[in-house]
Amino acid sequence: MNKKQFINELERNIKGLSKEDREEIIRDYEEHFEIGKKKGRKEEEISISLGDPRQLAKQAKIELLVSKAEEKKSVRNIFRMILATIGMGFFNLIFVVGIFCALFGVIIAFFVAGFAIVLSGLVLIIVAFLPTIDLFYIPAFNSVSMFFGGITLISFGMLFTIGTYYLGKWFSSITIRYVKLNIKIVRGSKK
Amino acid sequence: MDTQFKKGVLELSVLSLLTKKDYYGYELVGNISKTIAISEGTIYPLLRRLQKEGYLKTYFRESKEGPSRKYYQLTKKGIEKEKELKIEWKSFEEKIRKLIE
Repeated sequence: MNKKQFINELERNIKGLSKEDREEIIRDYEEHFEIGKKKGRKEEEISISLGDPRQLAKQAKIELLVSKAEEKKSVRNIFRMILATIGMGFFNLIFVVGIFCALFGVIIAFFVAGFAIVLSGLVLIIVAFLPTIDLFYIPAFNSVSMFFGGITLISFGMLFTIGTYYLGKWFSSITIRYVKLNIKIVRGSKK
Repeated sequence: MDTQFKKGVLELSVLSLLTKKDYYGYELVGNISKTIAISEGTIYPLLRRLQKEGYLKTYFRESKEGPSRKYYQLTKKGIEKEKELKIEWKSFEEKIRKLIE
């Protein structure tokens, strides 16, 4: 494989990365070829010692996606990272996709529940100030108890939402850590 | 030598070399592959990761022959990391030595 073939093969396998990242990766290997040639080595010789460009592309891709997911733990970044890892042949991560989707659903549901509790508290407070309250004729449902009940619900809903936020963060870190553990293994097992 | 083993010490080797002076990619790769038989290309993704994690920074310098070269330099964080990994390595080495003697 000469330099051109090597770079083409590399380029083909790093699609999906940003333009700057792609240019940087290509630039590094081009520099390597140029200096090698200055030292009197053949292009074919250099590409053999560099290794399989497809493997290198995958390695570069996964390293970038992991650091991106660590930087910004968004659902999109974590999902892309998992997919790229599966692309490297880590089929055990297919299970992670399932778990990730399920837990993501649970977290969304918790958020909705948290907001609903806050909302119901607000409604209770509003109702406490309405004259229609007398229609119930139940002593426990008087304005004062409804007002305090409303405040309790709002605080509980807020705490619940904050708790869910931290649960989500924790869950993201765990996912990233698990993927990193897998890449550690691939870094080791690959020639 | 076991490849898993090689890859584990790669990070330490890169950081250690860079404590002595700033290297450009080709030079760094050449130095390491003299000691550890490895696909030379895998060092570049490692360098990029170390840079992203803030252990290295890069700068370009013109060379008399050919295009400008990218040099790698340790950051403060990188110097700390190198010390940390070296201590880990030495204690590991010590344990293995006791085990095999």
